[in-house]
Amino acid sequence: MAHYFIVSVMILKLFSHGGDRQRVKCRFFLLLLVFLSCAPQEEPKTETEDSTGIMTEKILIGSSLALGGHAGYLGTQTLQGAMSYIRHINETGGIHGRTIDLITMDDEYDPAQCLYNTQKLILEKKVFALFCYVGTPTTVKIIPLVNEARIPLIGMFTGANRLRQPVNRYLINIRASYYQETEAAVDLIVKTKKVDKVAVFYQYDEYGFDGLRGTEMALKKYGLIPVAKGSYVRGTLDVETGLEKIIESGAGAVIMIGTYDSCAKFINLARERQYSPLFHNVSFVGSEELARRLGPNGEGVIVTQVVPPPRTDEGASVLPGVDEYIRLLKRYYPDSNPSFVGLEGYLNARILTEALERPGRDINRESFIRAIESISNYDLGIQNLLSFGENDYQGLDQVYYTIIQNGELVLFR
Amino acid sequence: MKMFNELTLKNKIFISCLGFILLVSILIALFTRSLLITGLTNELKKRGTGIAQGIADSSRVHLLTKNQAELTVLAYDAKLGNRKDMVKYLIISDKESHILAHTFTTGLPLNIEEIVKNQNIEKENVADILVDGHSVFHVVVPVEEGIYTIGSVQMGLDKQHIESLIADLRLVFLSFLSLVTVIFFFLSHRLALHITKPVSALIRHTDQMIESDFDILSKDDLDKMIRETGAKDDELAKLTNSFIKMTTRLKQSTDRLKNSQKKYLSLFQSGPNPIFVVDKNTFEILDANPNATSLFGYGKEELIGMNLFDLGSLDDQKFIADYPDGSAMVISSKVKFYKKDGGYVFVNIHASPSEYRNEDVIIVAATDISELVEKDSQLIQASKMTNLEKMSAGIAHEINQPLNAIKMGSEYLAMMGEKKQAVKEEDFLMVLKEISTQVSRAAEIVGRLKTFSRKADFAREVIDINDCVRSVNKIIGRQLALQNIDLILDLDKSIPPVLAHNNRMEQVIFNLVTNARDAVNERFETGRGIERGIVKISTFSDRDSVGFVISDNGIGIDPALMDNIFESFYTTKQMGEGMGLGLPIIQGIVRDYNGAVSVAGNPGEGASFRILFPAHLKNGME
Repeated sequence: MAHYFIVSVMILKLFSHGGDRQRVKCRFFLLLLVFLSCAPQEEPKTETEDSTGIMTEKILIGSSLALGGHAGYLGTQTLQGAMSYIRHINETGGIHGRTIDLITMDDEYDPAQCLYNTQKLILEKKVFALFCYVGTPTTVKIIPLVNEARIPLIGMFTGANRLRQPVNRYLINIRASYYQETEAAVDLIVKTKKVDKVAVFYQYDEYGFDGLRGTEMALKKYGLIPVAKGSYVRGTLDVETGLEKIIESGAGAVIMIGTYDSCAKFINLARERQYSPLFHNVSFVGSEELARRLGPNGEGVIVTQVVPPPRTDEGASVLPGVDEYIRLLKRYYPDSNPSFVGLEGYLNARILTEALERPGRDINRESFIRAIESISNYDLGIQNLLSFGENDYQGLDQVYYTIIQNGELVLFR
Repeated sequence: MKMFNELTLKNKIFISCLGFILLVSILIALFTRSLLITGLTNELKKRGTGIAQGIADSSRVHLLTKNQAELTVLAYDAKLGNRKDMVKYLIISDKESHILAHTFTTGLPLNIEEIVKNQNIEKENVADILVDGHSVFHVVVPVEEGIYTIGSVQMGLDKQHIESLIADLRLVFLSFLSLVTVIFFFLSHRLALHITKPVSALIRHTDQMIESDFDILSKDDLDKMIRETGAKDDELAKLTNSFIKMTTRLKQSTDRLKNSQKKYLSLFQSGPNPIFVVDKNTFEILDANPNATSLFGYGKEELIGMNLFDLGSLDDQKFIADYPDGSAMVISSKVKFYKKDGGYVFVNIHASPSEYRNEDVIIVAATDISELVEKDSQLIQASKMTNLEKMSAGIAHEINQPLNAIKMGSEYLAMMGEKKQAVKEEDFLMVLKEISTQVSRAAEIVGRLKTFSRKADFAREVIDINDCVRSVNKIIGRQLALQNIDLILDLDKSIPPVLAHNNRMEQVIFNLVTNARDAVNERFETGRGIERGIVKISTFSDRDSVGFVISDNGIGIDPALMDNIFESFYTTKQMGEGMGLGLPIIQGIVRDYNGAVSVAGNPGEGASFRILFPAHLKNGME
C-alpha cells in the first residue's frame, strides 16, 4: 500500500505541473525509477563475527575424513601430513597461545556419514572451522551445512568443481582442480603423445562426474569426444563392464577418475587381457598405494599431481617445504612413509596455521577468511607460490606429471 | 464534490478516468492479495506435506536400522536446492519422538524437543507454531511399517517464505497496475485535451465575438474558427457548426433589431404627435419626443422626471383602473393638458404597454385636438343661438309683461302727478315695490339668457343634473305654458353628481325640450286627439350611472327613421326651419362626458329620449 501511496503522490505532482511536456517526460522516468527501486532487496552480506570454537587455550578445528574403509589410505595419509605440522606448531607454542585441537571423525568415504559427522562437529563439538576433508562426494554433501553455519572449510583433498564454482568464500581450496588435472592429462595425451582415441574410466559419483566433465571439456578443445566411457560404483570393485567397453573401443589412452583400489584392479585386468593403452590417473587416486598395488603392471602409468613429489633424493633441487614435511612426518609418525597425499595434508595445515596466525588473538570466522584472502604469493617452499584473493579461493594451480617407473613415481615434464 | 464541480471540463474528464482506474486497480489489488495469500498458503502446505511424505518413504529403512547418518542426509536432502527457502527445518524422530536426525546446523532451538514430543505422529497434520521466533507451519507425517507407526518426519515450513513470495508477486502486480495507471494517466490526459481543446478554442472565439460585438464575424473568421477547433466529423464539429449558424442568425436578428430601433427612433423623434415614455408604476416620464417638448413648452430635461398626471387633468384613478395590465390601448379623449406658460391644450390620450430599457413602461401619445374642441364649441354655440332665435318671440313677450306692468305703474304715478292728486302713501309704496319686482324679473330673464347664450369652453366640472333641469325650466317653462304645453319635472333629489359642464348640459336639455315642444306643436297642428301637450323631464340614478329621460306626447318618431335621427344634417322639418344638427350635437356633447343617448317611441304616441352618464363617485368607489 505504501507503494500505492508513492505512486499516487507522484501522479498528483505530475498532475499539478501538467502541461510542460519536457517536465512531464522527466517525471515519467522518475516514476519508472520508483518502480525499479521497489525491486526485491539484496540479501544481507554474508559476514559473521562468529568466534565459535576459539577457546582460551585452544582452537577447535573439525575434520570428517576416511580413516578406514576402501579410501582409508587417503584419509590417513592426509591426516598424518596435516597433523605432523599441527603437532609441530602445538609443541612450539601454538598460535597466539592457543593450541590447535583437531577433532577428527571417520566417515569411511561415505557421504551420509560425512554429513552426519559434520553436523555433529558444528552443532555439538562447536568447532571454529572445518579442515582437511577428503573426497568429492563427501565434501560436496556438506556444502549446504557450510553455507548455513557460515563456517569456513579449508583444505579439501578433492579437486571437484562444485567446491570452486560458484565462488564461495567459505570453501577455501588449496590444490588445483580436477578440471585443471584432466586438462593437463588431455594436453599430454593428445598434444604430446598424439593419441586421439581417449576413453574415460570413472567412479560413478560426484568425483567421477567431475573428472568426466573436465576431460570432456578438455577434449572438446581438440574437437574430440571420449571414444568410450566406463564406470564403477563407489566402494565396489566392479570394473569389468567398464573395462570391456573401453577395450572394445580400442582407445589409445584411458583417463581414470577413481580411487587406487578400483583403478589398480582395472589396470591389472587390462594388462592381463593384453590391453595396454596409456593409463592416466588423477591425484586423488593415491599414487603410492596405486603403484604398490600394481607392482610391475604399474610401469608407465601416468598420474597427475597437484603437489611436487615428496622426496628429497631428487638431485640437487631439494624443496624446503617438502624437506620439512618429511622431517616432521619422520618425527611424529615414524612408521609412515611420505606421500603426495600426505604432503598435500601438510600444506593444508601450513595454510590453516598461517590464516589462524594472521588475525591475532581476537580471531573470528570473518577475520579468518579475510586473513585467507590476504595471503598472496606465499612461499610454501615448493617452488610454487600460493595466492588467494577476494574472489579466488583456490591457492595453487600447478599440475605435476608423474609416471610410475620401477614402482616409484617419477616427475617428468 | 463542490471542488470537483469547480474544476474545468478537462480536469473533470481527467480526474474521472484516473479515479476510476485507481479504484479498479485497488480493488483488483485487494482481491488478488487475499486470493494469493490463501492460495499460496495452501499450496505451500501441500507441497510441504508432499516433501515430508517423500522423506518419510525414504527414511523407513534407515529408521529400522537407526542409521542416523543416512537419516541426516535425507533430512538435509529435503532442504536442497530451492526448497531451502521453504523448508525451515526437518526432523526425523522415532516412535518415542526422540530426534534421530535434524537439519539444525547452527543450533537446536530450545523448545524443539518438546514440540516434537507434543505432536500426534499417528496421522498427518499441519500445525501453526512458533519455533525460535519464526512462525512456521509444522508438518507431521508418520513413517509407517505395516500398520504401525515407527517414527515421524516433522517439517517446518517457513511462513516468511510465503510472505516473501506474496510480496514479490504483489510487487510485480502493483508495478503492472501502476504502469497501467500511468498509461491511463497519459491516455486520459490526451483524451481530456482532445475533447476540451476544441471547446476552449470555441470559447475563445466566442469571447472575441462578444468583445467585438459580432463585428469580426467574417467568412475568414469562421473558417479560422473551424480550423482551430480542429473539428472533423464528430459532435464537436456539429457543435461548432451549430454555433456558427446560431451566431450568424444572431447577427442577422441583431442587425434587424438595430434597423427597427432606428426606424422607431425616427418615428418617435419626428412623429406628429407628442409621445411620452412613462413608467408603468410611478407614471414618471422617462422620455419624451421633440414634439412633446415643443407642444408643452418644457425642455426635455424638465419633462423627464415629471409625473404624467402633473401635466394635465388626467384622472389618475381612472387611468390606473382602466389600465390593469395594459394589454389594450386606452384612449382618453379631450383631456386638458397644461403648458409650461399656463396655457392649455386638449389632447386625446393613446396608451400602449411596452418595454423600454428593460423596464415596463407605457407609451403615451397625446394628440393635440384643441382646434377640434374649439370648432365643436363654435358649432354648439351656433346651434344654441339658433334655438334662442326661435325663442326670441316668446322671450320678448316674457320681457314685455314686466315692462307692461312697470309701464302701468309708472303711468299711474305720472297721471296722479299731473292731476296733482295725492297718492296714498301705501299705494305709492306698493307701485314702487311692484316696479322694482318687475325690473328684477326682467333682469333675471335677461341674465338667464345671457348666461345661456354665453359661449362655453370644454370643461369637466362636478354638476348636479337637477340644477340644469331647473335652469332650463326657468328659461323655457313659461313659454311652453303659453303654447299649452305642460313641462312636468320629476326630479330625484338624491342622484349623485356627474362630471360635465352646466352650460353644455343645459343646452342638451334645452335642445331636447324644444324638440319635444316642436313635436307636440306638430301634433296640435294635425289636430289629433290631445287637449294639452305634455313634456316630462325625470331624473334618476341607477347604480353607478345617472341620467334623465325627456318624454313627450308629440307626434312620435317613425321607427324607420330611428336610425337616421342622429345623423348630421338630417331633418324632418321644412327647409329653413332647422339645420339637422340638433341631435348630433347633443350626442357629441353627451359622448364628451362619457354618456349615452337612447331613444324610444312610436308615431302618434310621443317620443322619449334617455340620457345616461357615469356617476361621479368620490374616490372612484361606491
